[in-house]
Amino acid sequence: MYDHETSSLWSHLTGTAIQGPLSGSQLTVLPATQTRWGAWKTAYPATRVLPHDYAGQRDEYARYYAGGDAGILGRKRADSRLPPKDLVIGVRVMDLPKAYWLDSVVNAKVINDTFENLPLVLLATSDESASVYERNLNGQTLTFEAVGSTVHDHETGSTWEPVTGKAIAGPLAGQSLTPVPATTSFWFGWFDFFPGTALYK
Amino acid sequence: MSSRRSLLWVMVATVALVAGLVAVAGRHSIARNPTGAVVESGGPSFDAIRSDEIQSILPQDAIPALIKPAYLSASQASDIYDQEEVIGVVINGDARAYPLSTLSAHEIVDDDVGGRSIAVTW
Repeated sequence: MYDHETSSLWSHLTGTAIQGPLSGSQLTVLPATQTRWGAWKTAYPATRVLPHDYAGQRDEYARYYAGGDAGILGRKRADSRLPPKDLVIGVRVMDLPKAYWLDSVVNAKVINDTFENLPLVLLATSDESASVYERNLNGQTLTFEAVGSTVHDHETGSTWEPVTGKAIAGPLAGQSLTPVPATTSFWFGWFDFFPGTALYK
Repeated sequence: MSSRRSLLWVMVATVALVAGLVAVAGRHSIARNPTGAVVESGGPSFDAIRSDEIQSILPQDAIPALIKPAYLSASQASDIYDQEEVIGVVINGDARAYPLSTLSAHEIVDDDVGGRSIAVTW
């Protein structure tokens, strides 16, 4: 992508300018949530939403998603730990990368992990998306588990909402987990930028 | 993106199109452990793109970004189905949702949300 002001070129995946006057600059990556519209507007009733008026007549990438091609110019690197177009949730902790196979997150609904000494939890937010949170709260490390369609923590038995990262019942009701910026990417895109990435699958 | 200083960025989900637009050289040996849940590899943690590795395949604005678009309230957005996937952002209590179908067509939305200048990228 490029910016109108300087025509510098930026990497979507890292937020770094790689050519032009701002080369070497780094954008701040903010946390975002992928989920279904129904779940999002339930969690945030005052939300505003981009209308469909802006969408194109068709999804230009429909064939690309469905096909086997990985990358428009072909692949320059290979990593057979996953098929190239499987989706991963990528995080960076202390500049070190780790990817979580989206299928494993969605199947488990909850994955407790610790990466570079940072306790993390991945919570499925639909059957094709997930969010990442720190699982330290007020000096306590929480361990989460899926119970039916809800998420509880072992330590206090509080009930948590995956889309917002907030406890909605139990001793911790009203408390929020800290979201961790994460990137949903095709596996081949993630390992091209982060060839040394750890992978959870 | 109104100024360089206010250029903050929301990385949402990134279509790996990025990796297709650039050519990254070099290979690294990868340690494989097909039975383990966590698999470490032996390459560098980050492989920056060099400027000379970039190939342009589309002119600027061939995929037009949305800049400060109009939004609807949840009750007004009757043509967005509950099952549609969206990217959601909340900044200082200001919640916005971006349907993936729209992001696929435009790839970038530039806006001010909750007092911060952000780009939502897909």
